[in-house]
Amino acid sequence: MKSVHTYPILLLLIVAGISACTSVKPITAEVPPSGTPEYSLIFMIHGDANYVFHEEGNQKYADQEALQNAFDIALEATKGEVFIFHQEPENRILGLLPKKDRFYYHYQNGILVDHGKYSPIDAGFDQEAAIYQAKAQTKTNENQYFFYFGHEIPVTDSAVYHTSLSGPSFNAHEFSNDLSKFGEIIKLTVLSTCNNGNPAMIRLLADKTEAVVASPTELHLSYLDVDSILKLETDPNQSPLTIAEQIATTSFDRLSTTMYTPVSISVYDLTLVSEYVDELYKPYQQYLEQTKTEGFIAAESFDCSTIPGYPKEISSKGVKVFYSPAKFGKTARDKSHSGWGCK
Amino acid sequence: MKKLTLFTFVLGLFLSTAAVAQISDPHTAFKKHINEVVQQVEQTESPEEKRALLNNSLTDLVETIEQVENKENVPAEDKAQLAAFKNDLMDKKAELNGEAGFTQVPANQLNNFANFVQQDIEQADRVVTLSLTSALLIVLILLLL
Repeated sequence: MKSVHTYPILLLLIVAGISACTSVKPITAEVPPSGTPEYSLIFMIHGDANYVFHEEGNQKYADQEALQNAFDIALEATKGEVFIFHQEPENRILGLLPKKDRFYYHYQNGILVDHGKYSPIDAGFDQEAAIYQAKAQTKTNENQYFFYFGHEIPVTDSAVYHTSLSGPSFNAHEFSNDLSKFGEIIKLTVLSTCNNGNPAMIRLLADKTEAVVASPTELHLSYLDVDSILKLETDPNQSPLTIAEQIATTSFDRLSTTMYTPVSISVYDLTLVSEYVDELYKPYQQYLEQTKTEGFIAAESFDCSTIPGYPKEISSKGVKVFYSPAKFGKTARDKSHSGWGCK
Repeated sequence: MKKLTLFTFVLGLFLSTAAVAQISDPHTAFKKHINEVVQQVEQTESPEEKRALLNNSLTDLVETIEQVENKENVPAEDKAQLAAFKNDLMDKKAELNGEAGFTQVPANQLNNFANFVQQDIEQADRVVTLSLTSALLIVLILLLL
């Protein structure tokens, strides 16, 4: 028989759990923002895994570096609004109650108007999208740009993505599905991750975003330089492809002079790529089926154009590739890349 | 005598704190280990010593991974991943020494090669997606070498 105290305690736990999942703490801006934002930038920075890297012997945390860059951009975005989500590891009080370890920051016209903590409700972006939809001023004008910083988003559930969360892992399907929760068509999606310039991911994004910047191979944790997005300050109607190419060019110039590993960045014009991406996906799927083995193998990504039956002749349409081969290793002899990675 | 006991206690406490720090975050400890090797290579003047440092470090890593691969409590998924990682390290060692069809890394490129190894290990998901158990075993074995 249950104690008479059981039900009030359970109720208290449930209430605490619900409030931990949903409450945010708004703050008042020091100066009221002026003017309706003309564009919206959404930064999703994954930090729920190991993001340590070294530069000239100094230890750095990729998510913290990306966060600082996002803050810098947000302060200069005087004609736009910026949402920054930092997905830190989620701890639980007594192993039960979520502790709200993720952070969001909302800037409007260069001013921080709101920030708070939250807990995830799934492996995707449901909670982040809910916060965005509740607070965004620009959601109706569809001038939205999405930036993701993290490890490779797997095509399938083959590896743990959020180290602090149990249950279903995060994958490309969930990413593309949840991207739509921020806006019907995102102008530009920047994937600052390893290996996501692949036919599966780009196919999933085909009807969700106009342009994509992604790496078809591994990408160093110093990530892509996305400051060029501030060109929107002078022309909010600038073509997303033009901005995408500026982001790719700036990033490539830095990475190709500092990295000894291969550097590859692709810009995909999805209005053109969506016409044929299914044809790329089929031989890729067949390849995956043929090479499928039990268990997870951390295979390296390779150029899709080497797969038998891959339609090389069409796959360059709408794709601009920035590529610098490795200075050492087996891939040092690969002097070009189709811009499509397979793994 | 009391001073010696206190010193031993403080030293033990310090060492155990350092060990706990590494154990609580083995992925970072592993990357830190690689970084220390790169720093040593860069600070060494003689190309022969640089090559020997890199060679010994890569040998240690390969042997460590072999030991971890053979542990019963290592998940099957990790074993496949460790095998791929080990092959990659063996390729790097072969290139360093000009074996298995690779051209030997020139003496004036050894610092760059050390950075290549570090960048390749840090950016690839093969390290961070290893389970805590495997990462911990790697770090503990490396500490004992």
